[in-house]
Amino acid sequence: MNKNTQVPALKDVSFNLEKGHTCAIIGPSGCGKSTLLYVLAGMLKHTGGEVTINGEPVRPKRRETALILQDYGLLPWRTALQNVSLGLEIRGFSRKEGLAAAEECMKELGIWEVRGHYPAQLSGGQRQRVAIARSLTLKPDLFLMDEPFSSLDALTREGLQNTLLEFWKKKKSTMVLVTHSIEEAVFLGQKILIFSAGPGRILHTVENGEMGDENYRNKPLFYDRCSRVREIIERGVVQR
Amino acid sequence: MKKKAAQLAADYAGAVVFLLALWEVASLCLNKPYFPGPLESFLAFGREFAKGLWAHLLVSTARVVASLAAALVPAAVLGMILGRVERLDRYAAPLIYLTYPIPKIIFLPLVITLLGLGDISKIFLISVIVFFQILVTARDASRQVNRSMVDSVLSLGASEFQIYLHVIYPACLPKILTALRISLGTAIAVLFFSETIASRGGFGGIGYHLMEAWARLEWDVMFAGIIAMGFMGFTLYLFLEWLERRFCPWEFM
Repeated sequence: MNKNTQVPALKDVSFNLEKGHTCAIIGPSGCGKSTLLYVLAGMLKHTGGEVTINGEPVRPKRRETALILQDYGLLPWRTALQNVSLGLEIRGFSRKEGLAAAEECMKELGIWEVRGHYPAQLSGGQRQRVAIARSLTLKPDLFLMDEPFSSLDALTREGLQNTLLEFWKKKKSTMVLVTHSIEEAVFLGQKILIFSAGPGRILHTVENGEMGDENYRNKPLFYDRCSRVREIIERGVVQR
Repeated sequence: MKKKAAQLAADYAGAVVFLLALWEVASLCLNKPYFPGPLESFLAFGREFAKGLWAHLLVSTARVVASLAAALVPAAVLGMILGRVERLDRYAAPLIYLTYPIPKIIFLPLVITLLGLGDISKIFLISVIVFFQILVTARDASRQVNRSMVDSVLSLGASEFQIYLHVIYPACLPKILTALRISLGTAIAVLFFSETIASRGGFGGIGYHLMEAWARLEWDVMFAGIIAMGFMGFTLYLFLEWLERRFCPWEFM
């Protein structure tokens, strides 16, 4: 897979994610994690191999795919509400339908009160909730997230991770989460793919079926998993 | 908010008084007929305004506004496209770099020969100058648009046109309006120059009025023209700032 240049960003990456399951991708920076996400979103053409969603080859603008990026991609000139309703507006829905869907999603995420604020007036956590609400209006079945919480403070971050977990349990949508936080990967990924430095290869897959509980963070198993993942990453780095 | 506005008005009033005092002092020190003080000048302005300076003022303002408007839309649109479509920019960039630094005012004789002494030649020349300033600003602004903003809107299913509409245009607008404000000074300078050397008489604009007064050694009438020019610049500047506040509210959070 190429990223407009001649250096492959990914090599021999092959994995399967069941519908309704979550998967965390972790690895050193420059390992092609984001590239993989863009390929899954249909926004970058893969130059080799095969990528399918629900058995169909990946294509751009698949409506049920939601992409949430690191710095939220909110439009500074739109209020929170206008940002959330943007997705449906772009898809040609009426203003009324867009606003109704936006209201529902924003209430669900607890940001209806700040609907009139511009992104610059929101906290990092609120901004990320707006970004999530925006993607929710399109009723996605596949969530692709690129380090969505990396710029948040620890408490806000855990709060949002809990929100995301709750959401996933309720909606049963498929989630692919790129992260550089080991704890986040273990908390949210049923499957954890550990990537090597570029060109990215899958070093190891850690099964983590026990996730799914908010208290998971306090359990010994959680710590074990985290140290296991850390160990694999470190070994992978030393090998190079 | 109201208190803030009152404070602002007071600040500006203070600045006006300061500048007028400076003018008065300079005029008293110099004590020459060709440098009248503010009182004499403003009285002349009142007199001249009623006698026809208003028409000159109107003509000049119309020329500046028409020039800015004519340059704005094509320059902004082309700039935003060039900033986003690298392939086009590759051909356009050398052209822009070669032509941008040429002081376009040197084409004044040519433009007058081609388009005559009327409004068209002045508007054309000012437009060309302002066009380049806005073009370069719009292109650079469009290049710098945050990639993840574009990507996230693309991922919502946006078409290329919708990317321009929802992302590129609002991202560039504040910078384009700032460029317009900066261009205003250039536009008025070029207008003055072209009005002084290329007018047919009648209501030739403030520049024409000023040169006539100078030729007749009517110093207070000349200063009336200077006041009119300053008044026009200030009003247009205020108008452009209002535009920015009106169309880019998120910039003033």
